[in-house]
Amino acid sequence: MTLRLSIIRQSNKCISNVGLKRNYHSFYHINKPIIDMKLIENQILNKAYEEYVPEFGFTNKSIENASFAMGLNNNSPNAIFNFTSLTKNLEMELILFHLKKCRENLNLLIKNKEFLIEFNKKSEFEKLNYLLNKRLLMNKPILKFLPNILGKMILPNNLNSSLIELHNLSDDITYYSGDRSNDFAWYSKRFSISSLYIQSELFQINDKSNDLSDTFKFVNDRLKEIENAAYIYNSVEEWAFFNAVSTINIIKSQLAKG
Amino acid sequence: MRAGSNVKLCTKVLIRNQHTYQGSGVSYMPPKPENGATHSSLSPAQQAYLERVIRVDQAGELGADLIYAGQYLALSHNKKVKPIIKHMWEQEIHHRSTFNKLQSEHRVRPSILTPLWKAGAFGLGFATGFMNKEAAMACTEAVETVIGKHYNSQLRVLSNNFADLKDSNDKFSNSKEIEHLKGTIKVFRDQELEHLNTAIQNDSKNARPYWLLTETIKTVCKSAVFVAERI
Repeated sequence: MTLRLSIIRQSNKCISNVGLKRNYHSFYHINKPIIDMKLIENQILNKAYEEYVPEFGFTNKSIENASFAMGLNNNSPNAIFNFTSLTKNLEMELILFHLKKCRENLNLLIKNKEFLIEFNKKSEFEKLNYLLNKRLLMNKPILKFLPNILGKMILPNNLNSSLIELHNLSDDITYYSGDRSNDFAWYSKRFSISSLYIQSELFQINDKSNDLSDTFKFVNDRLKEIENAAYIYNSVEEWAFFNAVSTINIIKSQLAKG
Repeated sequence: MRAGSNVKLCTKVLIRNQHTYQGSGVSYMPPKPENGATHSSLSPAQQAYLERVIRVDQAGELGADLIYAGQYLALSHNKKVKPIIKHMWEQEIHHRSTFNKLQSEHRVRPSILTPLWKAGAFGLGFATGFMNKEAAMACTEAVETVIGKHYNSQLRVLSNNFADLKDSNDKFSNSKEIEHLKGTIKVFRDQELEHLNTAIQNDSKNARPYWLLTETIKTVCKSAVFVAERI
């Protein structure tokens, strides 16, 4: 009975729960958590992720085991997720849970005051590098499932929610690293971080080094390329604007002379 | 000669900006709460509205800043008009940096058409300034009319639709964040209307063709607001 009630309660709210999108970030109002652990589906996913994923991977079996261990019927996850999720797909929900959990871990890290003292001394480049490496390290425990996950995520049905999560990740990383851009640079930064992250994840799959040092080197090199491109673009823009204004001034002064 | 005096003037403007805006204690954001959030969470609709307000106002102030920049470039040889435009331009620079700060701190997405707004606004300012002083003032009049109305409608929504938020004592009240946003918009609206007044006092009505010029610019501004709210 209680379960049924909670399902009804959740299905009423389902649109706001589904809200994968990043929202207005408030300081004086409570912000929605990345993962709301009050919801039963997140409790099931958490148990599956912590206890069964290392053995069974991101499969239905992990979720079934988790719900069984929580005293639910084997079949109830199907019913719950049918009402509460966009994808209506257990495996995809488990993958999305992994992505959100990693984002939440980054968020917890960035709220840690002792960590911030050291972190704030770094430059934006170093911060980006650090956070990307940190995020890639979180893939290490599930590295053997990574090709499977990526394959699942790019299926047409799942692509939309995967891309939203990817955007949320790159938005978080650029914001934490101190990006305060106000114009089109906002988009180009996030887009390049997203593509860099995908490339490094693909690189990570074939990384044979012990401590992912090859992947970290790859991230560093690609970041440097992006930084160079940004520098070139900004210099050219500044040069062009300066020349445009001085041309107009020259024309004006020549006209004034007559 | 000319270039040298321009550089001097720029530094002067910069120093004066720092002096007026930092010295008078005007801050872009309310101080952040020390012990975390003080109010209940915003509804998705309220969040979406705040996001929209900040995005469109940032784009608008960017446009205003660049319109005056264009007019200044075209009219800076006119000794009478120069200080008037410079005064309005300085205020717009302050408006723009306020909304830039709000946008980046509240993690709002800026309008994706920012490059278009930049080019369009600078072009509009330069073109009207190039025509003559009256046309530039008519442009100011049209833009500030639309913006004044736009700010008023935002204030109406901010005072009517944000009354259901509770503080930690379970009482209905507005958080400092909302109060500050309202206060900012109020001050900016008054300054924009002051610009409107200045434009009319400086013969904006003598521009030819007055009706065509102002109505075109008003339509352009309204459609830009419509687009910038959304993308």
